[in-house]
Amino acid sequence: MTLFTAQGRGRPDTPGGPLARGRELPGDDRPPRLAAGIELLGEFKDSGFSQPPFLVRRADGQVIQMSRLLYLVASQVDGTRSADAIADAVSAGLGRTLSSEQADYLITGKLIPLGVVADPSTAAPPPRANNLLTLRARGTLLPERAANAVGTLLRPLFRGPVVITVIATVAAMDYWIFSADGLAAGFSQVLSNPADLLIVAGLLALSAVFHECGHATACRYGGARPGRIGIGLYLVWPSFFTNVTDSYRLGRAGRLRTDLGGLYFNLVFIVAMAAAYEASSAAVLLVVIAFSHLEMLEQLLPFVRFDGYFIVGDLIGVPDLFTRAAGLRRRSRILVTGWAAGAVGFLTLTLGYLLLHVPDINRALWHSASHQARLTAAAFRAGDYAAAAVGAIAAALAALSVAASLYIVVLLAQRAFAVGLRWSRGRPGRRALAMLAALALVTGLAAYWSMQGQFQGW
Amino acid sequence: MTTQLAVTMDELELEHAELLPSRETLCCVKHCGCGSYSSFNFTQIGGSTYQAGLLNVAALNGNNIAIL
Repeated sequence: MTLFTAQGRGRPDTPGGPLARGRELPGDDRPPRLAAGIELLGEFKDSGFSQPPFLVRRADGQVIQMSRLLYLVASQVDGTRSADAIADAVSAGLGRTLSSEQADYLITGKLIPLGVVADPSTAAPPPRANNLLTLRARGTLLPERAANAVGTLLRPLFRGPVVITVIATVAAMDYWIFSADGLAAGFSQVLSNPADLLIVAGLLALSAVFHECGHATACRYGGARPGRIGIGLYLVWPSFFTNVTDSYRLGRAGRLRTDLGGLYFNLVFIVAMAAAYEASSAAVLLVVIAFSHLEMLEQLLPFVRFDGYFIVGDLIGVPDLFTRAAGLRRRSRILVTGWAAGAVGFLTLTLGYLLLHVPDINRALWHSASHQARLTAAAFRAGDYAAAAVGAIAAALAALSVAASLYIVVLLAQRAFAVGLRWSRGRPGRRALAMLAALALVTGLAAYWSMQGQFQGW
Repeated sequence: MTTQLAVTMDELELEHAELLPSRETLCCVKHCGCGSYSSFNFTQIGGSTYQAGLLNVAALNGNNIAIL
């Protein structure tokens, strides 16, 4: 989250401020107007803040959270009102007196830099949020219009009786599947038949796309417009995504429905697989059902922007859990602090484990990838193309795992290097200490890896 | 005639706005972390099954490698 505080243009009561320099509204004397496509969304509903923030959406989809006063000023900017008229109208709405210079200050110092009020003096694009761990190399599977059409088409699936029926069906089916022997038979079949493994992989990919359609449909059901559904790279992993930024405009129930829509569509997919199994008795479908459950559990992780992350954020009433805790209600602050402690603990454990075992992990993955490559080549020579395809997928995934672990280590090193540089800037003593600490860490890790024999057996 | 309290400059300084991150739901084919997990990543090594991930669902074969 990028925070903007009043800055840069000079306070109206200080030398060099608008009072001293005269009007600074958008380059000329014309009344200010909102930038094209600006949508005032109103209050962020059911928020965990002591003073509920207000939301504005730009034409490029960027949503901005702002204080009530800024929102009131923005809502009075219509291309005809002068700063005086804006100040009068805001004062009436606020119950406090805002001077025209102060209104001018907020417009020029805040709303123009954010791209909320048009600035004819520059064509530079306004700033966008720098998302943590965002997707890269994005491609579109369903553009916005198609995603909305799908959402509209599938909306009936969110009607109460349908939801209850789906959940009850899956509960009953799970009891039957996990208490019978069908699952073990399905796994045995899949492991012995590469073609079945390809079917499982294909159906799970389809399930992932359907999961994203669930988010889009839930967003549409609540009255917001989903953006595109696509595929990109999360670190190094292929990942499907849906842009549901517009769900910020919904209340807590609507946002939670959007968060849970993907998991709900996983249940719908499971019901469809069960129906197909009933018709075909293909045990491989039971494996798909089992793995769909695991995918759902994975999605409930409250970290790294899985569905669980959004669910936790919406239950607390905070649009971004990485936000500063200032301004939160006591209960929300405690919950956000608890989440942050959990996230730090989770990351420390997982990243610490990774650092301590990087050579070990990559040795196993490398052996796996090279073994699969040999199996793939042998299967291809023997004309067993299904086995060759399975081997190729497995080899690629193992190789991706190697790339992912190395990429994460490089990211960590870069981040630590940047922090060290910032901490020791202009302080030779600190700089020497930082270099010593880095040297000690690298030496310690190398010694640990060596003592553990992690460099052997490659 | 009512007298409204004027907004002070200190209050004005506290006015803030934040760019919210886009809400993008993710569904990884294989989620990241120190290890990794794929719903369909069976990698057979000499008859045993290797799986990297939070859950070792390949326990059917025994002799597994599981990475958290």
